[in-house]
Amino acid sequence: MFYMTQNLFIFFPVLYLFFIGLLGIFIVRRNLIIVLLSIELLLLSVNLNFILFSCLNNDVYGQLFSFFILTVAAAEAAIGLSLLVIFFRTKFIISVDTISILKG
Amino acid sequence: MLNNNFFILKFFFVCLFLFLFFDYINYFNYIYFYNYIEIIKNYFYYTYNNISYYSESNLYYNKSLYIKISEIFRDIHSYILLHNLLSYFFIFLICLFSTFLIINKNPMLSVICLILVYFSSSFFLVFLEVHFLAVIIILVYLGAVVVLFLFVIMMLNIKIQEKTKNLTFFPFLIIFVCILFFNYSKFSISFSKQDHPVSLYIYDNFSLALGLELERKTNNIFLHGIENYKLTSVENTLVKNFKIQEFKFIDINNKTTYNYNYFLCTYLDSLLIQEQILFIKANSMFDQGIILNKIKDKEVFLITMNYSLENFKILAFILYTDFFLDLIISAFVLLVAMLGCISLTLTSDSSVLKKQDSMVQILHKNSIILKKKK
Repeated sequence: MFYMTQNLFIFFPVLYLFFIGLLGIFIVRRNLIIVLLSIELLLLSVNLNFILFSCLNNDVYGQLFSFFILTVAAAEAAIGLSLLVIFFRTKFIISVDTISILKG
Repeated sequence: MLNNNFFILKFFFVCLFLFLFFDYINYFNYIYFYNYIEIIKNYFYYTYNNISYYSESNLYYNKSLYIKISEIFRDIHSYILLHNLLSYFFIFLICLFSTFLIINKNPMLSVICLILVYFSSSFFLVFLEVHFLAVIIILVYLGAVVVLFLFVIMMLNIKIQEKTKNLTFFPFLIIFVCILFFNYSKFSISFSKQDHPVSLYIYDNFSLALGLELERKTNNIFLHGIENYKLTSVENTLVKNFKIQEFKFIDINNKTTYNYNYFLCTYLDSLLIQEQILFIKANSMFDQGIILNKIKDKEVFLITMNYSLENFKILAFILYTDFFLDLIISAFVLLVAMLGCISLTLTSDSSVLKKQDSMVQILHKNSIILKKKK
C-alpha cells in the first residue's frame, strides 16, 4: 500500500531480526543448530530489507534480488546441515566450542 | 547472577518500547493523529454491508454527488490504516518469535519458532502487497529449509545442552539503539522533504489512485489519454473540486488503438518529458513490460506495487529478460550445494556404500542366462 510504505516503522523487524541473529551467533552459541537458525534469520532480515526498500522506492529490482538471496540461503542451509551431520558422526555432540575438531 | 534469557527478554521489551515511541513521533511527522476505534468501526461497517467504496454502481446508488470529499478521504485513510495496524501486529509477532528462537534450549522448539517467524513475515509481506514473495517465502523456506532442519534434528540423537558462557547484552543493546536513532532521524528528514518531480504510477484502481494523489497535495495533476473514457461520479467530483486543468486518461487495455507498441514508444516519450504526473491503466503483462523498459533508461522509475496479480507478471518479465544470467548462476549455486552435500555426507566405508558391480551381477547364480535354441 502506498501509505504503508511512507511509514518507516516497517523497517523495525529488519533491524531487530538482524540483531537477534547476531546475538544468536556470537553470544548464545548453545549448539550448532541455533547458529544455523540465526544465520537464516540474518538472511531473512536482508531479504526483508531489500523488499521494503523496493516498496519504498517503487522499484521492482529489489524484490528480484531477494530471489537470489533466497537461493543462497537454501544452499547455505543444506551445506551447513551436512557439515553438522559430519560433526555429529565424529563426536556425537554439536556444541560450537569443540567444532575445531573438524580441522583437517 | 542473572540468567542470559532474562537479558534477551529485557532486550525485547526495550525494543518494543522504542518501537512504540518512534511510532508516536512518526505520526506527528507524517500523518495527523488517528482515532483507531473509529477507523476499525468504519472498516467493519463497509465490509459487513458489502459496500465497496470505490465501485461505481454502489456510489451511484448512494447518490454520491452529495457525499463530501472529506468523507471519502477519511474512508480511504481508514482502509489504509487498518492495513497498518495489522502489519504492526505481524511485526510484533516476528520480533516475539525471533526472541523465543534464541531463548529456547530445545532445538526442536526453536525450529518451530523459525516456522512462525517465516509465517508472520510472509503475512507482513502480504500487507505490503508483495504477494509473490510472500508465497515464495512459505514455499521455499517452510517447504525446503525448515523441513531439512527438522529432518536433521529428528535423525540425530541430540541431548539438550545448557549454555556454557554468560555474557552481558548491554553493549549490544547500546549499539542497537544508536543504529535505530540514526536510521529514523535520517529517514524522517529525507522523506519528509521528498518531492516527486516526474513520476509515473501504474494504478489498478483508478479512483483510489486519484484520491491518494490528491491526498498528497499535488497541485498540478495532468491526466492524459484517449477519449471515450467515462469518469465515475467520485472522479467527477474530485476533478471539479480540485481544479484539475486537463483531463485525459490512458487506457492501455483499449486494443482499438492502431499499432500499439508504436503508440507507446512515441506518445509516452513525449508525455514523460512534458508532464509531472501520469495515471496509466495497464493490466496486461506485455504493456507493463513495455512501460518498464521505457522508464528504465530515464530518471523515472516509479512503479507502484498496487496491482495484486500483476506483481507476479512483472517479476517474471524482468527475471527472464534482464536477470536471465543471474537466474542461471543461481541454478548452478543450487547444483553445487546439492553435490557438496552428497560428497560431504558420503562415507568411504565399503560396507555401507552400495555400488553397482556389473561382473557380480552377471555371474550371480539367479541371473537370467540367454541361451541359443537348438
